[in-house]
Amino acid sequence: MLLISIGGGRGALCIMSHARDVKKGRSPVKPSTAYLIGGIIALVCVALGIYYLIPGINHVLADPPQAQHIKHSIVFFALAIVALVGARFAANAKASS
Amino acid sequence: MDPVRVVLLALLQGVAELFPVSSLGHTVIIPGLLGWGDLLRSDTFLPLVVTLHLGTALALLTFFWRDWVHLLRGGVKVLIAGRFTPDVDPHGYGRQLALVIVGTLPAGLVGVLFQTKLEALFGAPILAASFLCMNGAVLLAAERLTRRQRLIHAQSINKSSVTLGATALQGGAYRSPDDITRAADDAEFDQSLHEMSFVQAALIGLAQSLALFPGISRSGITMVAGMSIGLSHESAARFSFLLATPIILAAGLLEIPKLFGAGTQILVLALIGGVIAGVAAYLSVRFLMRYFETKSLDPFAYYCLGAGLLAFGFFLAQYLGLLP
Repeated sequence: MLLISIGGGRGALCIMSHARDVKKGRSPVKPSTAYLIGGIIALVCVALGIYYLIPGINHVLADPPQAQHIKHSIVFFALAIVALVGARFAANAKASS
Repeated sequence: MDPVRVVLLALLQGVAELFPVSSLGHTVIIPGLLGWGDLLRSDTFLPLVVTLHLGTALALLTFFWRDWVHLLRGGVKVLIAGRFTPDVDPHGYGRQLALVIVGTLPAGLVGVLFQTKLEALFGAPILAASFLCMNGAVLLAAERLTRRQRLIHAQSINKSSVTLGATALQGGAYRSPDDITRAADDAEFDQSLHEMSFVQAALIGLAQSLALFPGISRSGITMVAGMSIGLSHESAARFSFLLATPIILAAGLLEIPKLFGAGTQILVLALIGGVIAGVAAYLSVRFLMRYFETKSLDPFAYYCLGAGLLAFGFFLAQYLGLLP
């Protein structure tokens, strides 16, 4: 019971600190979290970019579905780069606040 | 490909792409009115589309070249440093470039994934006419709403424009909209581009993706979105044109392979069309940037409503067999 109440108290403090950060305009995201989120988004985008490059499989939201779609791939690769760059900026914003 | 049609389409593209009247809508409606459906469906039309887009994009780059130089320099500095702080980015150009990139992403993604389907579903002239009417209504509503917000703001800080505001609000009859806009501008209502957040830029970008519906103007809807977050007409127009440049440029560059295999005559005609579109676009953006210093979207709204209704009536009459 003591451990649960301490955990609950720490959890409440974390939530309050987060709310304070958001209110003061600071990025609430830790640097490591920013890189993690950015990395995951980048990986998903790279995977989608490769998916649209592979001919012979049925591509969603593409016409014709089985052709190579270079435009789709370019957009997703660009999104991956933006996600990584965004993560770096978010991490630096938190580190400097 | 008839040279006269090429010239007319190029002029149409160059002007309508930047004016808030929907170039895609006009590209669907006018050939429908003039019976040019065969041109739009022909393979020779594709090289023309590429050069028209490239011409328009080059016109925007030329007009805003100083801005792009500042933005790119600022962008490189913040990219290397990894932050937007004043020591790295004193004038905020790097942050503005980031805002343009964030604003471009939604439209780029939605365009690549859904453009073909949307044009197939909504590319009929009668639907384009309906969306053009909607475009006019949105422009008009945005102007009324923004004007009302400006007047309320002016009233709340008790400036001289309060008198105008009180009369306008109570009587329901506005004085000249341009007078009210100018008076309310004195009330320091407008948010600057520097104050825009990335979420706001993304929302404007999402609004831009609505322009995939033929009849909804890209520049109009992005200006409306910009004005809704507090940008002035001029700042909203500037941001709209900055957002448009990478989208239109990418649309042209990615389609360049379609130029290969086209005959020399078609390529020459397409290039002439591109030059005409570029010149028309340059003159249009020059006019519009001056126009939006003091004036509103109202005339374009009325044009879209009127033209949309007329076109809708025409196509409906055709559909019902009342017209050939």
